[in-house]
Amino acid sequence: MENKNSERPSEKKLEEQEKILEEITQSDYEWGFETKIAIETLEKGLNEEVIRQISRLKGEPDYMLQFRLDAYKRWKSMKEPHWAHFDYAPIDYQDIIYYAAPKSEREKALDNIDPELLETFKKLGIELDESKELPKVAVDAIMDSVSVKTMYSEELSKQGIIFCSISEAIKNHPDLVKKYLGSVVPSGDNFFAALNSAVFSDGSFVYIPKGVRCPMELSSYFRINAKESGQFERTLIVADEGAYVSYMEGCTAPMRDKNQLHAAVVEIVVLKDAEVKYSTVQNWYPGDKDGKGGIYNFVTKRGICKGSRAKLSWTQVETGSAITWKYPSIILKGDNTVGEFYSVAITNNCQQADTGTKVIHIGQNTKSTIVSKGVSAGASQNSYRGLVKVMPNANGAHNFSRCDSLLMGNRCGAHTWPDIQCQNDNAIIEHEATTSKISEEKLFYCQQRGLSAESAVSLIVNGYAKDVLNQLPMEFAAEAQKLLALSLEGSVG
Amino acid sequence: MQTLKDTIQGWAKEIARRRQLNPDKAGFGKEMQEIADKALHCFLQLPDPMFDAKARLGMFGEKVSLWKEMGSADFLKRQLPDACALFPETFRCDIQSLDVHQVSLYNGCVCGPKGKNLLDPSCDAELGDKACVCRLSDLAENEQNRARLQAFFDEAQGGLCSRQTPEKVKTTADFAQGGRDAEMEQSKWLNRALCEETLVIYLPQDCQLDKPLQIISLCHSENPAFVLNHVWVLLEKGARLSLVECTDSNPDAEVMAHSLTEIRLEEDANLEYIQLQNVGDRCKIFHDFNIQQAQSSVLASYNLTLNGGLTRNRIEVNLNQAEAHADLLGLYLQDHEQMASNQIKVNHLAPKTYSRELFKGVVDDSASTFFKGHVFVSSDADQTEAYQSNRNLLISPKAQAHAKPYLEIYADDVQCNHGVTVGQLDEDALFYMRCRGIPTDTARRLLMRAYADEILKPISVDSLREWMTFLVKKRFSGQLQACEQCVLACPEKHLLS
Repeated sequence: MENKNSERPSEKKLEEQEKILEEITQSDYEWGFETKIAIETLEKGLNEEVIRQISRLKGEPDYMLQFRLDAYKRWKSMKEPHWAHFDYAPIDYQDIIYYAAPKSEREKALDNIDPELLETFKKLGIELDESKELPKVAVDAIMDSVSVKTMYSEELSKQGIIFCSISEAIKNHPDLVKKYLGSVVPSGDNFFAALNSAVFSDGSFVYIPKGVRCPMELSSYFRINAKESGQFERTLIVADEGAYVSYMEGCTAPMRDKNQLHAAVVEIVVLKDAEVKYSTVQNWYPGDKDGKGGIYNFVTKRGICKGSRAKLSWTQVETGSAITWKYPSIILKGDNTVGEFYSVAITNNCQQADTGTKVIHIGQNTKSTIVSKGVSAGASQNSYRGLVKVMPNANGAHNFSRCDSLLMGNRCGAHTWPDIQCQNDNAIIEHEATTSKISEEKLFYCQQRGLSAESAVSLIVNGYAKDVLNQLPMEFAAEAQKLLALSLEGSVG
Repeated sequence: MQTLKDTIQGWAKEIARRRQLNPDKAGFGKEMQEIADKALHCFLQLPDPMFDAKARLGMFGEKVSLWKEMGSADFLKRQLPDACALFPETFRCDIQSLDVHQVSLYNGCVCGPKGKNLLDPSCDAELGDKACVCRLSDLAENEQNRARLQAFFDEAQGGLCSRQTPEKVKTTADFAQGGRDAEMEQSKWLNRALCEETLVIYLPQDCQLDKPLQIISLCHSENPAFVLNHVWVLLEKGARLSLVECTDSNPDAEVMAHSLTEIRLEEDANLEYIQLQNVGDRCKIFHDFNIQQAQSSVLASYNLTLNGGLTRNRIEVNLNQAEAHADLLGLYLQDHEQMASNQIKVNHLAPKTYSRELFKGVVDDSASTFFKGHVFVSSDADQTEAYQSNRNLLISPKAQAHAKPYLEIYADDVQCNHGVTVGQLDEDALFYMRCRGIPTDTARRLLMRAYADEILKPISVDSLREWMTFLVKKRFSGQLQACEQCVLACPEKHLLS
């Protein structure tokens, strides 16, 4: 063959690239340690008694127990959805521990918290000590099924802001919880939301009163530690008229051979003139390079812009989890409301991600922007799935969607499954998407200027994801960029 | 009570009886009947929920589906059309100066003398010897063609035995297998079981017709009927063809039709396929295309839906070998309560393949349109280029447009993109024209014509393109309700002049 000679160097190059890719993908998950503390757990399995027990352990009022039992009844009649682009072994819902809690009691004073726990969060880069002079971020730290510590609660409460674990809110603010819990994601919404509603253990509750601008970033940090347990957290954020809050969420888990289930529900209610910004850096344990272990992340997130001029913005950086099933949605009910969704999803090795958003335009002159950037490497599958629906009365609705995918290597897949439904002749919908690999020209250009292959790729990917990273609060942006670099550096396809 | 299963079984019996009454000279009746029996068997083996309209709807809420239509009680009132009636003499084609070879399908039956090549007798004798446009059974007359026929049987059988999907395609998610792809196969079974005659268009190596070939497919029935068409196109290496298929009906026909067009393009073959759907408002047309393309073959297809109560086109293109090239364009103009659905699946299964989809629609009144594009790129298909675009113009408050542009990609060295827009006419452009004294209505029509022109412009058959442009113009000015071209006793003549 004539071109055999010319092929050889490129083969060699390919090998080199694969080697780099391998090295990188073998880099360890640095949050994979396990904390050795005493924990108490319930027996494996799910039945009505387990739910009663969870409710009892948390000392919940009766209305909550009824909410849970109702959800459980619905869940029993539902089937696990399989329309997502996934391939995984069936989940045995009776082989999961539904409640696991560190034995030490949750305490307001820092001294009473197990030092081992503090150490854990310190290792994860979370300082739970309010006395330290750091940029002020109020953190709600959640280990397995319970909230360990909520910071700055008192300081915030001076302005009327409620920031506490949802268990506390259930006891102390029943009127708010009763009014809003399940109002955006009903307990029978879908299989995983129903499961969560039945067994959710803890999570954060935020209420920003009328006209208050939350003075600091609020944040929750989720950590799975116990073996064979699932985490079912529930977050409820209510921004009353004219309020503003920026909320961040992070998560990690130890490395284990067995898959662990994480099924969370996040509900956000944005009233007239209020604004909520919700950012996530999701970094659950993704499993090893052969796809063994890792977190199954089935999350229902939804927000409603109830009053006029309300604004909700989702930003997510998805790098972890063996499976990510997540569609943060926005219901634009009020007139002149605005919804935004920014996402970077990175999959490597055997990870599978099916993520995207749903935007439903109901009110007039509603606007939504969707920017989704997917990066797939290794043998991973990365899908964008989104719905944009414009109802007949949504005059002047405007949607812009852009979802790009970047492929690295020939074993991965990148897919887009958008759905656009327009029932209004006054609406404007624009959707565009591209799929490609990192162009040789760009790589060559960078390498010519002295960058190594890895840093060139890192630079290009960071540039590619910039639209989304720019939306992150400062505290998160650095972490996200580091994560990006870690997940992909050098994966030249 | 008569169920859907009973009805279909009854029809299959009737078709078998007709076949026996009218046996082929070549004696292929037996094989054909075997395939039909097998297809019927497959079809009836479908799990019971498939025969239950509600259960089927759950599958991605497909609003326009053959299954859904068949599930309705009205379907059971339909009848098969009479056995091969004569083609109405009053029928004529109205496309001015369209110089084509013509072949007609009347309610799914091939018109013209049996045992003969149906190519225009005026055609070059040598060409007439080589190229074949005939019934499937007549193809067997010629010894040389028997081998071809075998290929057809293999393909037909293959479709029944296996899923016919290459290994790579099997990695698709469950829904693709359980949903749309499965329906394609099931409707193929239905067609094979109930379609009486197959029209074959066969061009041997390097053969090229002197002029385009036109298929006039006429649905004509006074009573509610269910019509099945089957066309099989085979272009051998280097063959070229320009094929125009006009689907028409009498204006008040209440026909539901299922058409299956199977196209196989061998190496370097080149097909231009123009489909013109212009049937009455009470007609429901389900058209399935299955296209297999070999190395460097080129397909340019145009799906032009001018009128019809419900039109569903489903196109499956398999780019099986390197450098296959498919260009799929579509235009749908819907008003009243019409529905149009275009579902396109392009499978890139080899390197350096190219596909482009461009579907544009104008949706008026309470009409609704659906577009579902699905580009699949297997991990072998490096250096694939795939483009997908759907544009919708909504011009009335009750009009609806739905779009699902899917990309499913397993190769990294690819260039793929898709885009969807739903919107209105450009206000600035309208204003510009009005400033210059053009009335709003005229300005709107002008813009819409320009919008449609992008699809029509590349059509290579000049007279057809001009006629189409004219029809679209008339359609936009609200004068064209039902088919005007190729209709029975068309009241208005010489519209073009």
